Amino acid sequence: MTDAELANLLSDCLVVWGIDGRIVSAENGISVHAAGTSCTVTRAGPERRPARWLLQTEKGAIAGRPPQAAASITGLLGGLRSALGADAPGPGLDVVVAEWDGRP
Amino acid sequence: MGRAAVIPVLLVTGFLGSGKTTLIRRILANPAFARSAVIVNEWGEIGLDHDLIASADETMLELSTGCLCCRVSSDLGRTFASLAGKGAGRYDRVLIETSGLADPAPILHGLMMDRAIRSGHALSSTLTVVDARNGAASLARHPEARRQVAFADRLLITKTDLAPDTSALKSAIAELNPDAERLTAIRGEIAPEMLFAPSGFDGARAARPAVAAHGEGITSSVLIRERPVPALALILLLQALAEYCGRRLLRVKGLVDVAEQPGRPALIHGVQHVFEPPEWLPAWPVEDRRTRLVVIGDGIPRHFPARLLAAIEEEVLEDAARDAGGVSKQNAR
Repeated sequence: MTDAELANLLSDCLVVWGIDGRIVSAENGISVHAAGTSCTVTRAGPERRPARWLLQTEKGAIAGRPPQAAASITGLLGGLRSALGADAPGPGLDVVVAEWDGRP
Repeated sequence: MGRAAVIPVLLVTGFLGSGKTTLIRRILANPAFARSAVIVNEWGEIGLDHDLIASADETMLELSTGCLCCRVSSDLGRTFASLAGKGAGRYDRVLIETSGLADPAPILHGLMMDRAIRSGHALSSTLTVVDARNGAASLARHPEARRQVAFADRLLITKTDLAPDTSALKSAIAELNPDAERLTAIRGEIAPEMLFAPSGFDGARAARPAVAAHGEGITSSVLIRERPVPALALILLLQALAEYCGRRLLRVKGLVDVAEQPGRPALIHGVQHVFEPPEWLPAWPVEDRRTRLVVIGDGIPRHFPARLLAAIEEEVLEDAARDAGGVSKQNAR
């Protein structure tokens, strides 16, 4: 995924979460300015596997904490959503349990 | 042991005055459809629709406690239990007429999730009745009308004798729900079999280019993929849509070419965060074998589902390639 594609996805996420904000290119990644704070998303190097993404919050950076690692894009988006204080997540996927018809 | 025969349920929704009651009266007047149980949900103190629909007492139930969608978890289950008790063996199908202001989602959740209902009944399809004369204005002004169209498997445009030019209405409908089958009827005259047929997924309709968003409200997008989608990527996509979009997600429906099941497309059907188990079709119903998934949402950016799937799929394929490489190395040792 290119930085432009990531920026588009993050921009869509802000809309879905109902947060006004802006996405800008930053050194080694993408910065998200929204909800009165900012976060920076960078790609984790191969040496950090299974982590793929690193999310640094403004508070975390000030406190000198290391960025949060995420192994997947969904993990990254979940962390970003939480960091921006968006509404509680939706109910999650609910698959109807199929009645067993007795066939293997 | 086979599955017991299930009784089909047709959910009839539509805005105030769209012609739902007229349609149901016409269906019941057809001798072949006389053995139909009817559940009428009325909004107001005096239920008129109940009096307008002629049916056997045991198979005609009125819910006048308020809007069905607001009390669905308790009332709908009790209503079906009452129907199964009083009308057992006396009906072959069920028609549910919602109030004109009802949100179909909670009703659909009840039909999909309530084990007591599901034990003997199965949702056949959701039919939304739209009035050709006032429909476009209702869609423009009332979010309830837009949601009713968004959740439809089939759309029945009525009163075309009063407003023959339905181009604007059809355009508005296509923006909200490009996949829904469209039918027309004057004074409810239509073969009922067309309404009770299980709803499928029309690849041709869904393959049309995405149209403009309906203002800032309900949008529909069609996600098309040329190559098979890994099952894990599909599950993660649906999970992410349900979690991130919450109440904004209205409906997901489509055919998916799952990489692990070549030649057997998965029919996906979800109402908000609630999904039926994927139905594995024995073969593709149309020549077009691309994955086509219609996502209808309230305020969901048009490209969000496709961008999300692309990002998820890239990681899933990368992990699969890495795992395969690891296995190859182990086997080489």
